[in-house]
Amino acid sequence: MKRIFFGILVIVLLLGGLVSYEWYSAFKKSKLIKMGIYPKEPFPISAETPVYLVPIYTLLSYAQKAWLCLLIAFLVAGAFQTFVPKELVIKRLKGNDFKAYIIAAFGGPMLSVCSCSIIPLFAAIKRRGAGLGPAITFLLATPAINPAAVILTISLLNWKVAIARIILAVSAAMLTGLIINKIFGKHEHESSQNINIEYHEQNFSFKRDIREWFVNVYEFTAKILPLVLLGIFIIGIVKIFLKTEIISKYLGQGVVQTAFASIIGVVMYTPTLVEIPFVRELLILGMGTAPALAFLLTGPALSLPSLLGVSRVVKWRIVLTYAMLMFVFGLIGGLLFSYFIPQITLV
Amino acid sequence: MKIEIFGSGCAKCKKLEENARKAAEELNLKDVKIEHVYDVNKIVDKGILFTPAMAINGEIKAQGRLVDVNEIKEWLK
Repeated sequence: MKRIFFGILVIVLLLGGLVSYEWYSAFKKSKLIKMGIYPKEPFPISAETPVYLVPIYTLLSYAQKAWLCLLIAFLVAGAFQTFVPKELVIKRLKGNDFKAYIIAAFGGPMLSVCSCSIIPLFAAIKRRGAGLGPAITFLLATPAINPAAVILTISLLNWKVAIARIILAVSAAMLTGLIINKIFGKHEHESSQNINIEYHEQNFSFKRDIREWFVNVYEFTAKILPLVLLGIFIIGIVKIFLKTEIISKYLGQGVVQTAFASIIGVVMYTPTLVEIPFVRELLILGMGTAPALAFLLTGPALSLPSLLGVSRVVKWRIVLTYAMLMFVFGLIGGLLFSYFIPQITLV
Repeated sequence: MKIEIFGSGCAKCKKLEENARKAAEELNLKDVKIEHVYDVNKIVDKGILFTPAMAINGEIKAQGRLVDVNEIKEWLK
């Protein structure tokens, strides 16, 4: 148990440090603004900025804004991966009762598994005799609300979006699991095969555990950071061509626009974490809060490649049904969010 | 001797295959067959939960982590 407690302590300390730092700098900034001093944007993009500099400035301004938060996000994600015993979560993920759905929705995201490991894990969970429903919930919730994404959402968007994202993503994943189970649960009765899960409690060893943690953080960073930087650079290029009028026409506040954003999220492959700067830039250009949240709900959880991958494990009909359901929940979730929060001010 | 690598083609899985090859080379083992299993259903049939995973002569040695060359060498000896 000592190991888990150490992990929790590390995570709490990191998050506490980040929150107090952000709070302190916001406090300092508001004091300066009161005195009439407006902090200058170090990489301002205006109509006079040469076109070729726009993507570079975009990248630099994100690096300047988010480096600390990204660092903490990677440290926390690595800590989850190192100190939360995966076997314990998977072991409890059995049966078909409500408890299984809860564990799938909240336990999955705690594992911080990479997107390419999620499909084999989904197959294994299903085959082990977890119901089809909880397995689908696990598949959808795990990539949607991983700890790194939550931290970055708070920092680049705001905490309201982060909380809404967690609540709505968990509900969407659970409802989709429940409905899929209602429709297909009976036919998909697979002979449950015994996949042994052994869990040996590891003793706590300060040096070894810290090392393992840093190795995990390094691997995480090496894999995800280049994709995030490339993603932001591409957003910077796309930004040159997107005019405010186009964005507010196709992605402004509205039911059709929200449905459109939800569909894009279902089909398009978005590397983890890139969805956040993507939505931020579009919000600045005039995207409504409803399409923004719809995209955040469906974007990371679903993509054409992942749907194809899952179709190797369950029937196509099931894959199409859950994609449709998630599209609908993205739409509803987005509209619900915009009803309560019609506008976001980004700092 | 047969080394099997299980993974759906992600960067970590490829790196693991590379490490296994390197370990076999460094030990000068000639009759080692390295096989990369991409098929999700076959991976699950083996009882594997976390990829990348590695089995030597059918016995699962590691899963869910990237094993380094030295550790693989220990197993191959």
